[in-house]
Amino acid sequence: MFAVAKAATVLGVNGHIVDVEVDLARGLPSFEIVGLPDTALRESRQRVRAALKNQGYAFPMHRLTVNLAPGNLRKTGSAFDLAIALGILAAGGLIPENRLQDVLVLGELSLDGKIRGVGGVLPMAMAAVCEGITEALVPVDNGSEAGLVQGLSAVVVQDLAEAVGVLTGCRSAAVPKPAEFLETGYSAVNDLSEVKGQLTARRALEIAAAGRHNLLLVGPPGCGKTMLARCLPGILPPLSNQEAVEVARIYSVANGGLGQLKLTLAPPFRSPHHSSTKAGIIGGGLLPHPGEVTLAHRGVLFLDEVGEFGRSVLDVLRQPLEDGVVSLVRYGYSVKYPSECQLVMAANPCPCGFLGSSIKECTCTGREIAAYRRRLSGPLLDRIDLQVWMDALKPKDYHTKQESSDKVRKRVVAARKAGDNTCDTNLGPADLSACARQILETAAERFRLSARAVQKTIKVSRTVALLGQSCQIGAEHVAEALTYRLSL
Amino acid sequence: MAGINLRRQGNRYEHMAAGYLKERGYKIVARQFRCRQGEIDIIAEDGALIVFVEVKGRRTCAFGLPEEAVDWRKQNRIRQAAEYFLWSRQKTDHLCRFDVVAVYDKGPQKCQINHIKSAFS
Repeated sequence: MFAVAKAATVLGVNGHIVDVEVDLARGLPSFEIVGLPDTALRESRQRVRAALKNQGYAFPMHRLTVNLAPGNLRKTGSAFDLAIALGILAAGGLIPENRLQDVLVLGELSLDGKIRGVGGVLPMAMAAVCEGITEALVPVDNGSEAGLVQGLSAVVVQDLAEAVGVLTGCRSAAVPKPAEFLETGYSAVNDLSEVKGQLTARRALEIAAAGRHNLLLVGPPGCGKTMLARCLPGILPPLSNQEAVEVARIYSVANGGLGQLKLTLAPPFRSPHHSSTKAGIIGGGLLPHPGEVTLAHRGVLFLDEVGEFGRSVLDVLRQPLEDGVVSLVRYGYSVKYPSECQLVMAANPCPCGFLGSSIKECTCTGREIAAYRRRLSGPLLDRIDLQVWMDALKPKDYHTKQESSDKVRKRVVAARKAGDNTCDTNLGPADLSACARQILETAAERFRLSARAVQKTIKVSRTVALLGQSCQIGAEHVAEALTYRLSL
Repeated sequence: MAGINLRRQGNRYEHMAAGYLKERGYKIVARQFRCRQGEIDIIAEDGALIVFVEVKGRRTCAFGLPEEAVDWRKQNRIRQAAEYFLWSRQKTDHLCRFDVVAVYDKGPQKCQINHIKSAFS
């Protein structure tokens, strides 16, 4: 009257295998779930009871105890329903007892016994392989995710009866088609050929794409800041398959199993509204949930109207930008979310928007401007390698023809490849030409650049050199990099 | 309704329910089992199974069906009383079941009985 099934829960973006132990004992009938279940999991009792009944199985008249081991790990979500139901049937003798030992079972049950998709199947399936589990039963909606994992033979099941049939061997198993890497998504964003004028900003965008640098665009309203920023994902090189899986893993957790997972090679582009909270940006909640900076992992986090964001919201970005990981600590446990993204921000120079523009006079007072500028803290600006001033468009620029994103992307891909070949990310002053070093030293002294600013200027210079297919960082590369740091 | 003895009315329903169960092969073990924890109207045996029965009767459905009147508070009391019963008789290793017998009272000779097996657990 005892059985164990294997299920899994997600902590951060990592899966953890959980043993679902089911015991049937004589005595007053009851149904308890122990082992730190959350509310959704405790409610699973009602779903399991109804699903078993409606699929034609008698609910046992026993004292029924379900234990989720390890006992100190918090279990969340509704993915345990199917494992609990099958565990009960196995404890009742309907499924051979040891049949469930090496099968990962995931799925939420509906009241009529159909199996619904759940979130986080990809990381859970990966964890299963690490634990030596070779088989998996997953909902139809999550089939493509589970099929992606090497070394795990996944089977999709529609309802409880089918799951029992597959386990007892009286029904043939439906093997899912693994998700394919799609290069779609590029067509969805703006194309650079639509952006008129703004040659400096276009150049900065290209450098940002080639070197994964952070970018700040400042200019009067209507000069094309947002449009230009939206072009950035279109000129980024496609993700490698490994990166695409990394991204898919995050979305598998974040989406909560709504529909089939798309495995796209286009880098993600996130543009949260400026009313977003700290927890919305870096992730959080009582049970942590990935934030925008994590959803933009390996892609672009675009903050439009950055002056309207809360100052504290912007400042929480400082550490994730530097480390590439968000570490959230909760009572008794902590989670880590990857956050290697490129930050692009757009802002007006002052509240009215026209400070320094050639088309309109600014009407703000000095105090207003100072208060507006203060919303972007110094430490955050220090992390922005490319700061670009964009002026309003001249009427004669409206009909100029511009390069398309595809062309620019080819240059970016070539520069990245060249950069990967030299494979030296900690490029120090040694690779600078003597003349370049002198310019940098003078600038650092004159403009009081921080050590980080100098380091980052060198990195931008390196990217400029790579884009120009040069093998040494020359004076012109450093000079160009410095203009992007000092233009504001 | 004033003047009707509710206690006697309840006993009448319980009597009818017990008769109904006996007809269907149940062996009545105890009636009106009382302890600190609560009260159980009928305790019967259905083969090896111990059945705890709550009897509820109504003369009108204006205030809801009789079986609806067995709310979670009543269920809890029955559950606790059942636990005490099993302990006191050293029968904790038996399988058991909680039933509700609803009596629709439509006059002296026209009573309808609805037996809900495994009404709660």
